[in-house]
Amino acid sequence: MLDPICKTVRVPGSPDRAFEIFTRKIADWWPVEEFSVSAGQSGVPITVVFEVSTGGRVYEVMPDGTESTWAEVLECQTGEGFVLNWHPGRDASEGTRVSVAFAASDAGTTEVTLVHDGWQTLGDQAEKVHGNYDGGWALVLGVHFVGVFEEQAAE
Amino acid sequence: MTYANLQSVQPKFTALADPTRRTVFEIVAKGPHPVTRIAAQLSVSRPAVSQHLKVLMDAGLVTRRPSGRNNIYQAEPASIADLRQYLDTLWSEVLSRFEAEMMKDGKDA
Repeated sequence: MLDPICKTVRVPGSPDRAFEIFTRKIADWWPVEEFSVSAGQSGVPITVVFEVSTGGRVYEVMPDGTESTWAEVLECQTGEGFVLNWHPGRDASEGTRVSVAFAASDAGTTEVTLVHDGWQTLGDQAEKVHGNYDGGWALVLGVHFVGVFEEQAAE
Repeated sequence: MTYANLQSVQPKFTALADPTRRTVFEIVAKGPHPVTRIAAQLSVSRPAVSQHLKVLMDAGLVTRRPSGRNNIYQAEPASIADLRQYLDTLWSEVLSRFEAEMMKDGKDA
């Protein structure tokens, strides 16, 4: 079974501030030169926009002005966290799930926890519709294949 | 994902973007198969399966070995590890940049 990718970082300041910088000010710090759809085409985005509400989008504005959607905001609690259907450079139907939570920690710091999963969910859905493999690329990274490999490795 | 530093894993993501090819990969991931047995599980012609296998091999996702008169195809486990490693690195770098921004912002305040 493929575990979710989990990352934690502790930063100075309140959860509200960390949330604000992670979302509304994402263009100030996101490493667009490495991680953007524009970068895949030897360019740099004009900006990155995080629409901070459920049903919003995260998208980059490419050098020619077109928008490339990275994610839909599935859940959003200001100052607490958000959940994204994450699919930069791919169709929304091929999204995986990225959750970020902000929690107050010691001495005025905030613990930010990022979890990237969703392949398992898609795998479960795919099992319900036997033989339907349209669950998306997430399946590729999913429990199914990795489980197979781990079984093989164990033999 | 069409991210720039994807050079090693980009071909893998691209190869797996096609649903039929993904299904071919899923079949060989379950165990080594000859082309005929893969085609038998799909409503796809044998030459089409061979073409999908070629793309998967070019991307490093599948390997081939001869067995008698047939070629046997199997998934390359290390390739999935590469894809996972890519995602792991991505989030490490993103959070490290976020952390740096929070530190900078904190000092300015």
